[in-house]
Amino acid sequence: MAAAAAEATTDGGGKMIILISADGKRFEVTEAVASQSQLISNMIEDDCTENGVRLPNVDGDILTMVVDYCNMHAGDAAAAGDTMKASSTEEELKKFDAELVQALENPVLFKLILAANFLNIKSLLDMTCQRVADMMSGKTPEQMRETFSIENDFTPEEEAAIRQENAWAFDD
Amino acid sequence: MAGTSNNSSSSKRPRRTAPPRRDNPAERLTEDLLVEILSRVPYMSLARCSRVCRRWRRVISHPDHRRLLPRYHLRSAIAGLFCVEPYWRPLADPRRFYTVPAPEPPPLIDPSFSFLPNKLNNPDVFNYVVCNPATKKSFVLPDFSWCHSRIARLGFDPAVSSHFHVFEFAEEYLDIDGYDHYLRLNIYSSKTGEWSGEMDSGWSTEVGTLNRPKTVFFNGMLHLLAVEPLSITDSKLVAVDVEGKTWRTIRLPHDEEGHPLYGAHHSFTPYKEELIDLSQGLLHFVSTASNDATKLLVWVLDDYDSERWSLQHIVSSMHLLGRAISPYLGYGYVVVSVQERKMFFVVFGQDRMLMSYEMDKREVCFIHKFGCGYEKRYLPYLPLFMKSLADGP
Repeated sequence: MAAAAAEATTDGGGKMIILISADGKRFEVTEAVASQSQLISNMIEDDCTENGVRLPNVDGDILTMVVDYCNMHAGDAAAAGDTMKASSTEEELKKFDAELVQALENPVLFKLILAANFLNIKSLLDMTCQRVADMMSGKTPEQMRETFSIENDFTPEEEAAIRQENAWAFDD
Repeated sequence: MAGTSNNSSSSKRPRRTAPPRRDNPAERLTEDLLVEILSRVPYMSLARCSRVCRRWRRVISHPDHRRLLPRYHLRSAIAGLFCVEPYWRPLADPRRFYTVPAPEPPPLIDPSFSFLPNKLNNPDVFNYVVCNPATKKSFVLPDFSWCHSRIARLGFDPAVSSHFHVFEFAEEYLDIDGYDHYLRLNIYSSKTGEWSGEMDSGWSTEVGTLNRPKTVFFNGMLHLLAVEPLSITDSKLVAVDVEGKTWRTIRLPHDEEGHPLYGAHHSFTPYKEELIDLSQGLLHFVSTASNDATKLLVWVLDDYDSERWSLQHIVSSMHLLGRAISPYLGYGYVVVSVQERKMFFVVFGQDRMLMSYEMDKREVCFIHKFGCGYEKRYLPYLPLFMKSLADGP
């Protein structure tokens, strides 16, 4: 499903915008799709998308997922005007989101968060942050470090002090 | 599927090839993003998060983030309810507390409303006691003669100060009609260790009975809903600062002609449902609509200074409760709390069912049945697990 959308010609009206990833992949999307990103929406308003939008912070593989997501969600965002494609039903969207988010693992998940934040796509940011929060819930600190490849930089003394501080939370 | 090894054939390689450990994207998250994630983690897990590494610990305990982090949107956000009827009596009587069962029950102490008679030395002496659930330390306020016409609330905002204040209101009627009425306030500061001494209310004389147990300490002021003495109609949102110098009345939502947009009574009852609470740094006001008691409105005070409310959500009691309300038949409901991530909680029916309602999803969730009871006023128990409550002057 993640076939690069480069050169795709979408039916329906609306200007096309070219997004260029950090590694030079090009994605052609409609304005309606692209403007789910507040960043790009602002650029469209300021008329500076003529020569394509360079996104030096976003890799091609991540941008592919973002574009997939935006294509899928263009329906709700641009519901007012008459949109390209039969917009996806709510059920399809839910299924798509659930599958996308379930499939995400470290480190792609974090890259997607960074991209959603940079591009300012609130719904995608919400969804991906929730996924990480769900992954944290119910884990011990050690399990969290493992899951997210984080180094324990506390000294043993510090750890003991922290444990003392709110012992109620440490039944692990 | 979309692994990172997809070395595309393109010529540029802007990414440096760093050792995999350092390139860990989890460590590249900005603090804002980390907070964004952590604000969705239930509180017990959040306490564990603070033990993962120095950076997480610093972010979680940073004062700037406390407003977002201490309360959480999951079901376990409410640990229990205090029944506060009649609401002049001290709160933390265990017989008045109903817990929500949880795998990790929190300590039964909350700084936001722990006022206990101090019976340690002399059963006749009453002192307020403020407790910190994180340390389980309690602090006894100095001499005090409590009587039944007094109501006390705690003012504590860990984002501003580790010190707390206790606001004690005394209300008295000088004649039997209730028209000649006064309201006085005494404020205790944990910084000075002293009570301010009783002062007259600086609100208009129309502000009398404090008609809802839930108060909100916010912007350095205690906010509460009040009504005119003997009136059941027009509510007022009033606020007072910790020194008793600034007294404010904040206009509740009105239309352009000045008619209130809130507060219809259900036809069988003199009660209208209303509540103020703080969620994501903004004051929220939940009330029945002005002309239709079957609709519950959620208002947000977008602009505190200009008193601009915006309507955030409307839900019918039919959708919320799955049936028509009928307080006489035991199907009344009480809104008890608004929480992060657009969620509020109600207690419904004779069985006192605690339910959550998520505004975005319009989703109702049953949490716990407390069992038969007749009380109508509750304070939710939301333990604030911060060590920063100063335990004394």
